[in-house]
Amino acid sequence: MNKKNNHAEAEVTEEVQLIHEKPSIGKVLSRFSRLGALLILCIGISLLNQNFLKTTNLINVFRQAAPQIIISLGMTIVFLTGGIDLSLGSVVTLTSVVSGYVLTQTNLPWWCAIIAAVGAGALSGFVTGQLIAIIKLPPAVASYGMLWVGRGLAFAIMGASPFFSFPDTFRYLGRGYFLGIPMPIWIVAIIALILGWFLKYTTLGRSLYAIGANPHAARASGIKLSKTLVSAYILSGMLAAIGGIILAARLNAVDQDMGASFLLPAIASPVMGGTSMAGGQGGVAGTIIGSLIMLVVTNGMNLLGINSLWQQLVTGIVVVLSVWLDVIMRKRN
Amino acid sequence: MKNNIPLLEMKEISKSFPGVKALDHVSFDLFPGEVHVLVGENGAGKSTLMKVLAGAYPKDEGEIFIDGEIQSRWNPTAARAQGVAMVYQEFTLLPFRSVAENIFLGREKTIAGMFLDKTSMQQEAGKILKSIGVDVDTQKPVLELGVAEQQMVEIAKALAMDARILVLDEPTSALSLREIEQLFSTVATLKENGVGIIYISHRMEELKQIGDRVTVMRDGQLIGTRKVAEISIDEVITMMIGREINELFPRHHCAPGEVALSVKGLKSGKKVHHVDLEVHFGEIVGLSGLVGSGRTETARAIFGLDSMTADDFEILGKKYKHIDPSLAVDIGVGLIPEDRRRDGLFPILSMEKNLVMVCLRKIFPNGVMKPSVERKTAKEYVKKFDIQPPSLERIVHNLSGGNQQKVVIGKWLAAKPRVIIIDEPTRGIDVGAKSEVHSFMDQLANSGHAILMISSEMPEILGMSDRIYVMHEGRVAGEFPQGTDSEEILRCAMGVK
Repeated sequence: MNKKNNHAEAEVTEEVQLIHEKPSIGKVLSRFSRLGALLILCIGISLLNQNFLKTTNLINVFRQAAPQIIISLGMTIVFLTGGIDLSLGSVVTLTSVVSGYVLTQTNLPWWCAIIAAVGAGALSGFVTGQLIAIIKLPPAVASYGMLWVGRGLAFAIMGASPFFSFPDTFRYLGRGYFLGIPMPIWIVAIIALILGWFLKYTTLGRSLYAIGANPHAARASGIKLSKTLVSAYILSGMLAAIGGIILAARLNAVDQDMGASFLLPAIASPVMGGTSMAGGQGGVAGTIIGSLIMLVVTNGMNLLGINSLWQQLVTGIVVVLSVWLDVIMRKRN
Repeated sequence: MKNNIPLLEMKEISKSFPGVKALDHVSFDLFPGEVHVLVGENGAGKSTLMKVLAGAYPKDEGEIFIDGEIQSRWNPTAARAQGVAMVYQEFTLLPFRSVAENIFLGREKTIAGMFLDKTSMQQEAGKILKSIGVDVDTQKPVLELGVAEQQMVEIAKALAMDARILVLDEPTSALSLREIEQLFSTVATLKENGVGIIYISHRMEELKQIGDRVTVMRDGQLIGTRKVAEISIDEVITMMIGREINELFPRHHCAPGEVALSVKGLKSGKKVHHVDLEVHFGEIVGLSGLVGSGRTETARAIFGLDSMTADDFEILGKKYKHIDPSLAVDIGVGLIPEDRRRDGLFPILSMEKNLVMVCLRKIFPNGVMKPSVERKTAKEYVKKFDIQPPSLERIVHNLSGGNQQKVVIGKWLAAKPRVIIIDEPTRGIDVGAKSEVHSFMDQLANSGHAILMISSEMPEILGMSDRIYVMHEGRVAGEFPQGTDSEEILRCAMGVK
């Protein structure tokens, strides 16, 4: 009986004449505008400097980009919910210090350092999430508070002397190669795939978009608002921790300020990649492209020998221009 | 004092919105020193008329005269220049600024064009307040004033702009009895000063207390204007209703089944004081009442959107102490909200994503989605409700109101609830979509769902309900069987014995 019903239903649904609207040229263009911008940028730089397109340089760019991309992906998740996590830079510092502590001050094996660091990142995200979801602090305020808590803890753990010279197995994560490709690139690829799948094909991923798109409707649709929000911040904290681990492994040392410089690029990259800070729109691919644009610009300027005094100015202009381009494209549709 | 030239005359005003004729050749006038009460059911067109008067809506047809002079260009600036001012139910004061600052907001007095002239603003504000018989400290922040005093400040603000035509929209709805007296004495002072007042109210007893004339509107039409002294409250109510139900409702009544939802002594927030109600399977129960009587808040409390307490709360045979929306979804309750843009839709997401948003957790209990199943579910409801255009990728922001409502209903039915609360099922949608929504509701009830329908439209309540509850000031004031006279329901809703 039940089967029969299902069959009947299937037949009914097959009759529906769905319209598949052909995307207009403008829509296709805007979808690929960021990728296009990245390609044009690459072509432009390679015309000016032959070294840019060399495999070693490209791999190098990508490897250096790895922590930045991973942290930006963490920020992307929070942006999707319509929030912001200003503590991510601090979480990078804190988690790399935690891993450094476990590696140099204890006799635990190297993988304990990774677990401790990721755990610290998750815990920090959990606290930030609770402050936002339960105590109802605005995300910027809650995470700004956590920024200082994270920094303070990092200082407290480290004391006066930085941690350095880590075991080779740990450093492999930042400097090693697997099948001729640097480990950080593997890690980025795996995270991007998992995260992309998570956002697209899980109900929790969909709930993140829903909350960002309309928190009232999300709650009224039975989505558990606090639980979902807290998981978003836990995830972003864990991603920042992974970024911190790669960084520590590459530099073979940790200090109190290593994470701070990642915060602003982590805000800019998702935005350049089309993730809306208002929530509900964006994704993994855009953020990766956004991060790459910023890193290619920096790398290109280095190759072209542009005075480092001017580099920051150019970076600022690139950020503004690329977001402006995006706004124009969206308005057209 | 009676002047032959009216202060304001609106002649044959018409205004249409897509699918609705909101005003149909309505004429309205106001003399200096007069309180002209405007009454009508929800959706009768009162606020549309007032928005035309304020210049917020352009009129399609008709003319507006001020002091007998025709006004060719009518917009918010012209309306303000002619002394039209509105005092709405929600106040527009800045809570942390002082009384004087609020009164002169945007028109601050300055010294040498640069510095705020606080002293003269305070003096002037004090003068205006005194002229309407109110004594408040003009330096106090508005936050520290009572509701009635805030309303007086709002009126003073209007007077500071030289208002001659003052619209008071439900001014007493938030006031206590003593505060109402204060308001009425202010109104009396204003009358003496020659201000014309348009007074919108649902409270019939106020009509007799302060009104000079009364105009009744219904379905966007003018029903009549009478002198208050020459008309009884009963007659006003008859004028407000006086309609035959000319719409056809597709309701096929059937015998109700067991109790699906039972609530006793429900309390929630400031608007729900004591609600008892019961809905059976196979039944559409109408919940009627005036705007602000606590109907929507009752629905939100039952669904767990607002916190509540109840003496007894039973859904599908199980008692609950607390409920939240996600629990409600799990046990098979759905709420199709009044404000679909706020509580129903994800405007920037696609139709497909909107349609599966509630049922996701039911059809994918382990949290991993299958795109083919998602697509199939969405398709099913696009077909069922004939949503136009049938394009799953379409962003719902770009759909028409009727189709948006169908998306919201489809989204809920996809989760297969047994108890459905539907708040204003056909607000703001065109006639065709309306009757479609009504037939879905009929089918749902007859296939064994329990439906609680909140509606401000009397024909909808009468045409669709098997039973009708009427709310008045946060309580269920009466229960009526199908086929009850609309007049009886409206009396109950207005608290008239």
